[in-house]
Amino acid sequence: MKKFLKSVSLFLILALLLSCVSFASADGVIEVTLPTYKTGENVGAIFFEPLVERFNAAYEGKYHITLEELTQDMYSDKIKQLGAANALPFLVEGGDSEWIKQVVIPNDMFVDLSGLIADNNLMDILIDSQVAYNTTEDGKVFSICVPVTRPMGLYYNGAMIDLGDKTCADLSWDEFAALLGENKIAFMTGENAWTTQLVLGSLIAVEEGGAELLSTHTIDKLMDYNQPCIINAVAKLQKLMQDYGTSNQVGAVYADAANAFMSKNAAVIANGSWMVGDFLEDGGKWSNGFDGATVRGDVLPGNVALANNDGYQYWIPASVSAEQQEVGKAFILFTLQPENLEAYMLAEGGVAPKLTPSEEYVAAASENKLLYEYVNAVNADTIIVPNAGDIMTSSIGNTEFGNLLPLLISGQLTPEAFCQQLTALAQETALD
Amino acid sequence: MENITNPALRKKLEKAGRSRLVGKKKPLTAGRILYLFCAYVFLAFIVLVSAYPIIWVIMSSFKSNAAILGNPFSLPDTFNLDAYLSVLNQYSFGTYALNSLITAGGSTVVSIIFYAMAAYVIAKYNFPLKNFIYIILTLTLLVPGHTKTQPIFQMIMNMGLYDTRTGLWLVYLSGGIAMSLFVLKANFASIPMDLNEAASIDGSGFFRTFWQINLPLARNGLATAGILMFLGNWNEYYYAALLTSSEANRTLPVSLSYFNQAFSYDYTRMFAALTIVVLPGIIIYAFFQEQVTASVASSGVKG
Amino acid sequence: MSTVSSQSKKLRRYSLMERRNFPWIYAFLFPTLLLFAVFYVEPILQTFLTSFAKFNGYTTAEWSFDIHNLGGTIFRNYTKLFSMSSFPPALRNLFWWSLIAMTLHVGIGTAVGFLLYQKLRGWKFVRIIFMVPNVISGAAWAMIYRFMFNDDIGVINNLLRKVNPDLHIQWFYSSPAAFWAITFTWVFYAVIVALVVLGDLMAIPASLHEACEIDGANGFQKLIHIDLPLCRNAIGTSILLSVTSRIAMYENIALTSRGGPGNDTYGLALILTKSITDFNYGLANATAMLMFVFGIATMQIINKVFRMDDSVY
Repeated sequence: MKKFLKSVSLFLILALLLSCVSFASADGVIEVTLPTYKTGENVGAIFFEPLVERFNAAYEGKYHITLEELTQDMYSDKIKQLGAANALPFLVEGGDSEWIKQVVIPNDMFVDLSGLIADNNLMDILIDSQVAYNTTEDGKVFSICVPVTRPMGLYYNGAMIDLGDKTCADLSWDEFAALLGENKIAFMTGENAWTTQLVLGSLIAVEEGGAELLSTHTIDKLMDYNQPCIINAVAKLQKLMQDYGTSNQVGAVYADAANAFMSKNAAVIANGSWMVGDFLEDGGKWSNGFDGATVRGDVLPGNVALANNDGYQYWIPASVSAEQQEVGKAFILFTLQPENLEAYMLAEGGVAPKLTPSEEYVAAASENKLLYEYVNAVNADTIIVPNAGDIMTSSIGNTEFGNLLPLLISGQLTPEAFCQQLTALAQETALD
Repeated sequence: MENITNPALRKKLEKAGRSRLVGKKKPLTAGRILYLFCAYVFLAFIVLVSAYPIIWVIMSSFKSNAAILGNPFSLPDTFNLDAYLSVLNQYSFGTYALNSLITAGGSTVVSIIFYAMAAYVIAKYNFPLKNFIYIILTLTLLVPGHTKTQPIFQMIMNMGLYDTRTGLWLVYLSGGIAMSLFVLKANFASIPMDLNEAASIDGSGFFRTFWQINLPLARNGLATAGILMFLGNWNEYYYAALLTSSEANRTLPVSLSYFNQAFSYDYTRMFAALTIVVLPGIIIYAFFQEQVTASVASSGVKG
Repeated sequence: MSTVSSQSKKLRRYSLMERRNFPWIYAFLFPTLLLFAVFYVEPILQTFLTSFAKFNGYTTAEWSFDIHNLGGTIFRNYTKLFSMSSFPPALRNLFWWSLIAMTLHVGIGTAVGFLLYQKLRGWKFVRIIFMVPNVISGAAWAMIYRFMFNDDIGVINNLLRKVNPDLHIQWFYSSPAAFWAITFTWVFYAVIVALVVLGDLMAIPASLHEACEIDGANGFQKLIHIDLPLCRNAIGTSILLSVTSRIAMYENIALTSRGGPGNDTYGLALILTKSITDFNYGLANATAMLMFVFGIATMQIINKVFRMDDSVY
């Protein structure tokens, strides 16, 4: 029995000791942990991981950021949970916008960044409308967005599809689909059904009144989906998914959709410019004879590109220590440095309206043909509107939309019924 | 049987003995063969659905991605450990396993003592409210764990134990109240009360009688209840996911939810990671197979 | 005075020896009762109270009461819960899953229990293997099943395609396949039922079987007239345990179909967790109370139907 007692006390001591994780480090370096989904296999990691490494190198002996992996799917839920536990990290990237609007901002759970902007003349680089969106009624600035706009379009496999001398800017979805033949589009219904959301966005944008609807509901989300422009777009989406969806589209998560494209099971995938990194070299994701060099970038058919400038990005929770706030601010300033913005645009595309590009950047950018093509597919007539997901409340956008799609594909829901269900769900989750 | 003199009784007992013998060696009639056939088909199905999913996962972890996609039934051509090495490299499974061990093992060791003390007095002594206490404690078996989500989250948060192993350990302490009490009460009840009386005549106090006489005799029950409680906590996912966030405090089951994104391009590594998560539980079970089986049976019967 | 005397009358039921041990006895019960109070009584009480409040977890809970608008005030969360579009499917699924648990799941387990009791060759092996799914984490098991039912790499569809090459059932994402796919993740795994039944069977005195054989009963009659009735308690317990696990079922759904397609495979536990991520804690706790009530009701019904309190002998 003595042994028994001993092992009990040993366990107790062990458990207690190990649970006291100390953040203080002896040599004066402020060490912080940043939970992020932009690690590992996530497309965002290609830029973000080196950025943090550069930050750690630049502030060696002063700050050190350790990344901690979260999946993109769980990020905003986990952040909410950490918020409820008063255990938010020193820096948060966005999060559930309803939660931010109804909990974080009213309860002053954030550090006002207006001082940071003023002290560092950040208005010289930040996009005015983004700062305006992030400014609260009492003049505080909630978050700072990286000032790069990135209209989103699609990629297609040039070895599988030939658009002739046309581009998607000249084609409607019907005409584009006709050129597909037996080839498939990488749709998904799992997670937030991202690639499908983008196609739906482009379909809504070309409907009558659709572009306006998308543009006007980014702040106050859409509660009524029973509108002709949405019903029509959903009907077209249903047809596209039934005729051109990959065999694994139902239940597919983003990685499945990307996998379908990079294994030639699909010839088209709608996605943002950040995906070009996946096509520059084979990072173990290519299979079945796929070659990134054959990938072409374009706008979405109907000459639509999707971009939403109204959003939240980097914010610092008020609950973290002054030291950690300091790191958060340093990191935000670091990402806004011209060379880092350029590195960002090189890796993930986009345009920084107020930045005068350096010669090195211009040279490097023109070398990346795919990115160049993708970014320059936008022309003067391109309809640039927010994405379908931007007008959905978070639970609709994150799960319900994807959960309903299989029923739309199977025909168990008509486009009208699909929109009715979305409407009911949107009204249900509205907080009282 | 020699000393039984009553001839009628003797005859009856002999008959009973014979019929028992007959009952054991049933003749192989056609009906019996059909019955056995059906029974074995059914049992084979049970074995198949229980074992095949895990065997399939383990087998697939040695196959290439293309082979997994090509033919899910094929056996691996080679014994390739690359996927395991790369997965072990990428994730600190050692940390996760240690976390699981500390939280599940630590809470089991402590709470089993608590429950043994309670079961001991309930089994051996009379006191007011005894039945009431026993019944409400065993009713906890019927409380779905999720129903306490918000209050427990709040409590752990107020104690400043969010994202610590201590917090999870504390929650796991309350895990197997009902099951442990069933098992331990039965165990203590089977220890003769004479021992206690003898001990008290020898001047042994209440605590010593429990600790030095009864507890060692109940070690089977302790092991039985302990292992089942340990397995329950070791496999617990919901509260572990809710109450921890950093990688340093992640447990094995929680690590599962991270694989989806990380390995979706590579089924081989996904299956290797899954194998790493499920294997420890199976190994522990293999060692304590008898106790686990016994504990399940006794916990149910007394319910 | 009267209370004191009634108390001393009560205490008189206990001998002096017994009473001398009372301090020790309650000291021994204390840690367990403390855990019970902290992790059961307090949380359940708090859940109960806040299920009537407007409560988001960030600000304090607010109760309001208006006799003319009970549904909008004190019962606000219950009104909301009952009107949610995922609530009817959650109830419907709970009903069918409970029914399947009571019949098929408990039936399979009981059958295995009886076969194990006959100690057919290899019975120990079956018992060992049958337990394996229960010793690994439910989360891992759900994940394994998601792969088993995957259209590309999954065993099920590839097997079915040997019969029908064009078959592509999206098990977790189409209706009604998703309901059955989730059912398959648990319905066969009835080892607890099997062992509980086996335990009861082993407790049947050999003399009963002998007497029965003397009377010339065959195996089937023995089963119907002796074994099954004597396993009443075990079967009742099994039904209770399997129905309560249906009420609490979470990982099997959350890690596979997420309640979809649409809200076809929703469950109460899923509504609860979703309300928590929507920071509607009042609604979450109202759902929790409903689960709790269902659990207690199940127990009451099983107790009545199976006369669990009566001795079987």
